[in-house]
Amino acid sequence: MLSDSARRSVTTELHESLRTVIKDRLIASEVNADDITEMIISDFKSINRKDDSIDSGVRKSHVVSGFLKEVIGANYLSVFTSREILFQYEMGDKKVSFVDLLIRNLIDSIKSEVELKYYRFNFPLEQTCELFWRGLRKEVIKYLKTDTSLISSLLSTVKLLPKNSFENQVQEDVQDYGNAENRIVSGLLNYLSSNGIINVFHLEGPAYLVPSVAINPNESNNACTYLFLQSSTRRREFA
Amino acid sequence: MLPKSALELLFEHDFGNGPLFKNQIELVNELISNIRSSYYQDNDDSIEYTRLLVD
Repeated sequence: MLSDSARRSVTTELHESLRTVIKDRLIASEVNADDITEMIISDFKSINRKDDSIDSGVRKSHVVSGFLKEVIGANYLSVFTSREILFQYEMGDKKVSFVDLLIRNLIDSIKSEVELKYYRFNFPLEQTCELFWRGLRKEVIKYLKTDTSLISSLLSTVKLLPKNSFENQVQEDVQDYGNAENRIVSGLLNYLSSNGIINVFHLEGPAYLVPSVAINPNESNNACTYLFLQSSTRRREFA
Repeated sequence: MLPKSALELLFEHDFGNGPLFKNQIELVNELISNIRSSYYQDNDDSIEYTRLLVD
């Protein structure tokens, strides 16, 4: 969360939650908790700005192209990381992050009703496992808000899901878009989790020296692993 | 004199009763266990999803 080599999102939620916990810690102190919170948030934003100016390049090499194709075409992905993977690539005229790539590919697979790939995410902290699901939920809801056709796609995808999963509750909610949105995403995440399509492991082994993505690790003749290396001076990452 | 760095403010500076938090784990634990925090773990159902422990 606070690695000096990682970019953190300074959301209103983080800002207000940090203020809350700092106030609790400084309750008996004369120091103004609001001032301390603002100083911390200001430093976070300042670090992010530095990262933006240093890390304006986008990877275009054939290695990146091969990596993207392999991620999209994989049947099974296993990710080992202790922090956010900053890697970005170009899609059309937009920069897209590795996280966007995974979510977009998952959503596209659901929409086109192709067989979903399997994902295994490995994190060293239990808290990261919980925050992963929270983040995924938030990102999928964001997609629902920007792509109104997705709700109907998900509804049509329901037929791919086991009977009595969330078909009934979705049908009840279609009149109430906001409620349907939350429940569809909850149902979808439950489906992905309970069917082992997305597994999150709290793995305490020494596997986090650098973030890595194993592609088809279950296929001995079709497996490969990409490591995300980072320059010690330029804070750049590449696969 | 207060430090300007977020890391120093959060984990190093003595506010009279020690640093605000011992480390990042303590900070994250506080964020997900404080009922008034947006990250309070009962505010969503993530705990119901798969969370496997590998020894």
